[in-house]
Amino acid sequence: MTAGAQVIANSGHDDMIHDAVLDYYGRRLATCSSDRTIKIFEIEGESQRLIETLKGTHDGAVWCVAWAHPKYGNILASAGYDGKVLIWREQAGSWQRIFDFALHKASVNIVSWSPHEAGCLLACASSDGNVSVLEFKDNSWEHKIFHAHGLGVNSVSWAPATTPGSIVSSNPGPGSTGNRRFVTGGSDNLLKIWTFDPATNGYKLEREPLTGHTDWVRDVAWSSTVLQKSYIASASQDKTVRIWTSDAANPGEWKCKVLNFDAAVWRVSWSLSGNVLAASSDNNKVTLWKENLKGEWENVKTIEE
Amino acid sequence: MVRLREIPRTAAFAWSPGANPLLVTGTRSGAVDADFSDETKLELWDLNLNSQEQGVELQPLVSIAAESRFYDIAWGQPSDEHPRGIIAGAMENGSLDLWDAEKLIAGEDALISRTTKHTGPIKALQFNPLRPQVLATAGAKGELFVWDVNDTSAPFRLGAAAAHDIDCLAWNPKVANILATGGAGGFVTVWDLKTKKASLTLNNHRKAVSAIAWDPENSTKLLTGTSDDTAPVILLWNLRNSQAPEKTLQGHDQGVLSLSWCQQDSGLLLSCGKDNRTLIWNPQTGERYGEFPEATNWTFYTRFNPHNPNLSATASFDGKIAIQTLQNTNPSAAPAAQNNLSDDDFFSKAASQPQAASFSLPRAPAWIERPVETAPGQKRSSKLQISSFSIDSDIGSATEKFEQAIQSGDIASICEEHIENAKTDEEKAEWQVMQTLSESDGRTKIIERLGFTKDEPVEEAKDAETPKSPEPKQEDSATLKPNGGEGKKHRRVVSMWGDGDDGEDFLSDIAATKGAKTDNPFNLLSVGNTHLEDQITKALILGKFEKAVEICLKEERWSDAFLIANCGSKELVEKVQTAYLQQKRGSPSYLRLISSVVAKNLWDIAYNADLADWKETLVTLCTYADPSEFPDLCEALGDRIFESGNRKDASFCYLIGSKLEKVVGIWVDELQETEQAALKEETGDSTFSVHAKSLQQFIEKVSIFRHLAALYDKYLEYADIAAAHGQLSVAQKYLDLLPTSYPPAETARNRVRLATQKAGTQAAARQATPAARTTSRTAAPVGYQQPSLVPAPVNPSPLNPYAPPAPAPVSATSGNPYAPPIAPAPATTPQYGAPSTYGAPSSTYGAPQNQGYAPSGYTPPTQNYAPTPVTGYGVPAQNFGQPSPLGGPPKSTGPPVQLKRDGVWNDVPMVTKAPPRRNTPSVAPMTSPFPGQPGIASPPPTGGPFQQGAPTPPPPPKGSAPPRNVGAPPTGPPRPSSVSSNATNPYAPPPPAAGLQPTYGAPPAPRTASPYNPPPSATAPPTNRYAPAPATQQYTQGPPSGPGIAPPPASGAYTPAPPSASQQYAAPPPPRAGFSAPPPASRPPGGGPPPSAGGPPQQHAPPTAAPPKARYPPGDRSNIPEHAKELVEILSRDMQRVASKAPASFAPQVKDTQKRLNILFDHLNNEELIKTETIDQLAQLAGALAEKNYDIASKIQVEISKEKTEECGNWMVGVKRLISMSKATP
Repeated sequence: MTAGAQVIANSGHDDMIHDAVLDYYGRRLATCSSDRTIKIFEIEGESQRLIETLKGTHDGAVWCVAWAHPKYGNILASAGYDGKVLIWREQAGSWQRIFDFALHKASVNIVSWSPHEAGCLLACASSDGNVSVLEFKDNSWEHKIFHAHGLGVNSVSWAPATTPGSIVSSNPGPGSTGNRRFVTGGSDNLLKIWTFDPATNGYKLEREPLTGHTDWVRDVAWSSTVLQKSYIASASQDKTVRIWTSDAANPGEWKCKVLNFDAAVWRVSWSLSGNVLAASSDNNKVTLWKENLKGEWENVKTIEE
Repeated sequence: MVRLREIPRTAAFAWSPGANPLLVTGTRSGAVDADFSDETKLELWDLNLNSQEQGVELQPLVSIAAESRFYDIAWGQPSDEHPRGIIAGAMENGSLDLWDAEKLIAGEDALISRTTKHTGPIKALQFNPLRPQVLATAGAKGELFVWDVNDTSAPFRLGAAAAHDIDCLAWNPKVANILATGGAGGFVTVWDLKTKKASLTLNNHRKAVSAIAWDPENSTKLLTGTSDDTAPVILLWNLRNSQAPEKTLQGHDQGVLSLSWCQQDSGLLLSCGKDNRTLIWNPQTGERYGEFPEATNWTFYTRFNPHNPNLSATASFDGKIAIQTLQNTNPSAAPAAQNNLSDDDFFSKAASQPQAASFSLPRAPAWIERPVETAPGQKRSSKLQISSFSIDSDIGSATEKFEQAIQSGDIASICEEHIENAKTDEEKAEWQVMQTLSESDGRTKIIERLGFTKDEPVEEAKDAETPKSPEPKQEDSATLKPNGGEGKKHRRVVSMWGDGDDGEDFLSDIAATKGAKTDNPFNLLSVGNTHLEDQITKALILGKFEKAVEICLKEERWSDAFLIANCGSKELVEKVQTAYLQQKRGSPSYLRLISSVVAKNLWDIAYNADLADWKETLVTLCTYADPSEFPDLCEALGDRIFESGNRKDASFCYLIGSKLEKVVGIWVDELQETEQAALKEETGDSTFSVHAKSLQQFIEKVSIFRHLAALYDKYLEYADIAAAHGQLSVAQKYLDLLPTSYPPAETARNRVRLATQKAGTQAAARQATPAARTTSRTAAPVGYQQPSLVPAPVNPSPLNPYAPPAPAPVSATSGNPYAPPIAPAPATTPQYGAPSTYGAPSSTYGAPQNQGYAPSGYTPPTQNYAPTPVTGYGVPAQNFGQPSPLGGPPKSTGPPVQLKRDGVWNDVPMVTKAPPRRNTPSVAPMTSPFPGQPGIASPPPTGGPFQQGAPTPPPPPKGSAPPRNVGAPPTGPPRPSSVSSNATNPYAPPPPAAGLQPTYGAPPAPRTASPYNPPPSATAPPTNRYAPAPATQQYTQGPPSGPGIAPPPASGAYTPAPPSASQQYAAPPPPRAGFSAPPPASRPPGGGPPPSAGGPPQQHAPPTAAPPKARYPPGDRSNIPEHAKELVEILSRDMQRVASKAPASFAPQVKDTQKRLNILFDHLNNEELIKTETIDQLAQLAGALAEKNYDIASKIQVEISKEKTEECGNWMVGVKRLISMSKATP
């Protein structure tokens, strides 16, 4: 597979594509674009087929699409500049919009599904400074919305359901809130880690914000690979990616390593397992990074357009 | 747009650099406060956007007085000297004031300098965006200075004095030395600082230029704003063509006062002016996007926040600086704080009320969107590319390889490879163990692995005289530790005892050789024997081995005792052993070992053996342990080793003991350690690879081990159960856990597959079952229905029983009439809840069933059988009928009744269960309901007494075990559970009896065969496959009593009374014991055919002893000795009481019990078998019973059956049952 990359040259989108996400099984690809549409492709081997275009609902660029864990059904969330978060579901081959969330006052930049163990939760990061967490429960959607970064929230990413250092998942029983925890990155150059607080039934700041970036934090990504440490990567306008690690032994302490780029970095993403970091930057480059045992991060692959 | 904050000032302002937006304001020149105060302030404002609670109107963070009013203000970039930058004020009085922002915030004296070079007011100033220390100021009379803020003493002047003021200036954002100024003269001058000259002049239509903004990206473009109300336009210039503007942006109604070109998005421009409006444009296209809410007075200054252009501030002469966002996608939710400001004043309200944002950007601003370079006019588009990246190719291939190996079942090779590659001894050892375990003769190999070989010692063992006189050379043996007082053993000893066959041979050899010798003494009887010897001889002659042994023991004639005992029953042998070992206590350690071994008390070894010799200990366990106990013993040993810190050896024990959970615990630790170790090695691999590799190895280990640990069998079994209960998906799930090439799973797979094919119908069927069930089973509506809630029993019958039977006759039975019954029978087995009836066996079945059946009592079977006739198996019905003559109770005819009866005899299930397993795969599933399977395990279900004999295959253990247990099991374990679990239990027939009767009832041959007819099964199969099969199954262990023994007389055997058929069967314990001493068993001395069937050993005593005495007819009670009379009285009375009150459904049990008691009474009447001492005990028992002191009664009963095993016959079971029945009968 490494030999050839599969290319969809003509996506059918009339404008720039902002996000392209494969579903859990790698069988479907959802894309979204400034043309205000979302397209869903079916990937079969080396070929792909456009099976659906969702349009006419977003009033602005669609920034982000995200597949829910399949155990909750074929559910896709989309978010865009129009501040809306839309939830779509496929049933019997047809896609329906099942929920509109329009409480944000500005662009919703990223939506992110929680690990399925924690429930069917969708965190939304908005430029209006708020983070909302939608929860699909008992066939209805509830939401919590709170102020996270005054200058705007650019990204949100959930912590894995399992705590670092444990081999066996500390599986929360049904009904428990599990490890509801996520990191946000904002235009205030900060990262903030939030935890669900059952006492207040809301999310609270777990610790002081992580500082270091000197410009917007464009993206954050919490690695879902459970190793000895927790890994958070943050991509910033300041042309760096910072990798924050926290040892299981010192859960509150985050150490930071800086990867320098020659352009602003927009997105970071961890491989589902394996702790490989992909970072995409302004210069149309995607670079893959791996940590060696000395704790150094090495660029293992560069994909250039 | 959302108005986030409002600063109640009419002031020039500047945004702070950096993330946390602050505003600095300086009272604007010309501003008039509501109170006409001429106070002039420099103030700092923190927007505090993180706090949503804060009101819209802000309070200043810092406020200091300024000397003069401001025309303009600027905030420079941070520098080392001024970490928060410098604030520069363009003062009305012509001075340039510089403040240190940090000090200002801190409330210290912040003024850095105040320099007056300008001769008039400074109208505008700006820091150079590329050279933060460079500041340009411009003002009245065309004065234009460029400053170094670090040294304000020597600014240099650009241009000459002019008539017009310079009202605005702007540095080129791309080229540091370019500066543009504009003013009232209507010209825009572009200065080049390198030459310090004006390089270019733009003619702004000769209209006053109030604002200049450079294109943030294109260094040759700039915008100018015209403050002239007659031409309120914004002109876009390209310096390449200075003759005319490229574009004219028309939209303001009155003069433009300020422009802000967004640095992050050159497609966004803010403009404001005298028309009180703030407009937003795309200056490149001239398109006007919209406008912010209108102010009530001139909006004279507007700026994007340099850090976050989503924010902008606009100052107006109505005393406000509004900080607002570009976007409001949810206008309804916008806070309407302004509405509250002045409720009463219509005008102020109208004035201050912000209008809803009247614009919407057609596209998202650039700072939100990924940048993309597109040639002008070209449509933006994206290409999608999916590429893959393998994080660690090793893992992929390793996983693949492993899966393949597992699929092919080639465990040995996997193990070998791992052994080769193992990095640590620990790991290597584990793989070796697993490899060993994977081999067929696991235990033996383990022993070998531990460094002991079996063969060689066996040879020597044969040489060895007896176990009690170890030869010196044995003591020399290397493994015997000098100080090891506990649990140590000699390997020869071990081996000798370890090998069952040899052990047996050994004993028989002794018997044989010594026997040869005894011929001589025999001859010498009259010659010169001591009195003692004569006594022994006499006893022997009379067949009173026991007595002979006793005498020998008294005289410590150990070898004689052993010899004689060996001729007698196993009990005797054990007795001698015990006596001997007691005698020798404190002598060499091997004796303790033997003692433990003989006593079957391996726990002693496992718990007390010195850990230094754990290997030896383990070998002992391997050699002797009962399969059912073995894992626990290993675990116990493993625990001890683990506590002592030796993980490797502990895991060895766990591995052998198949204690997955324990071993996994160790492995998890190991996993973490290897990971840590690998991390330390720093091989340049990634943490993840290390983790993944360790994990993979871990999984391999577990998988292999799972395989070995018989987990697969468990899965299979469970799947069967699930399938039997209609839980096909569950079954499938567990079947999926098995490798595809796992043959035993084949059947189950097929079954599930076929079943699921009919999923539709089945589902329907399943749903319909409740109804169907009730209708079809007329017999036990209520009682049955309830149990039906318990998943186990009910489901199977509707779903499965019928399916399997079909195949059975075809494939396996080929029309044999007996086949059908078998099939249906299994179905019933679950119902029987054999467990519920006998407590002890029940445990083997698994608790759930047990409980399930408890309430239902014995009714369920009825229904189950009902189907049989329905299905058209007439024969089966007959079959079942047959037993009735046999067992007294089942006299009734007609299927339902029979069924009921069968139900009573709980053992049917066991019997039936066995055959399916043996016979045909198709039937096999049926057996699933019995969890207590693992091969040998089948015996346990058969009933208490048999349990002991059966499970322990190796003769030596058996020899010792049964005797001890025989008495106990039927009484001890079952009782408690039966008593406690439910009232019905007490009436349950003793397991053995019950089990046997029905079983044998069916086919004639088996019936006659009685429990002891295993052989027939072996020999007779052709005639009667199905009936025997069960027998075989159950009694296979029973030594070769030979087919000949089987015949009918069995019933008559040693108990004259014909009805005693049942009783006879009840006798199992003793016979069993006899059987276990194989060879002798086969040649029953005294008895004719019948006795032999009855179980030789036990009969030994009675028959031999009996002959001399004249026997009274059964039922005669006239000769009962005095001291026994009372007990007979009590027992009979109680029996009658119970009989009268017991529910009809328990009539069979009651009858059986009566019969058994009658046997006892007959014995007593004849004064045979039961000794006086025992009679006394029985009397006590009876007394306790009379006082309803059941606990004591059962205790005594247990004692008797334990201690007086040889005296206990079938009657004992009757006594026992009477106790429990009595207890249950109020």
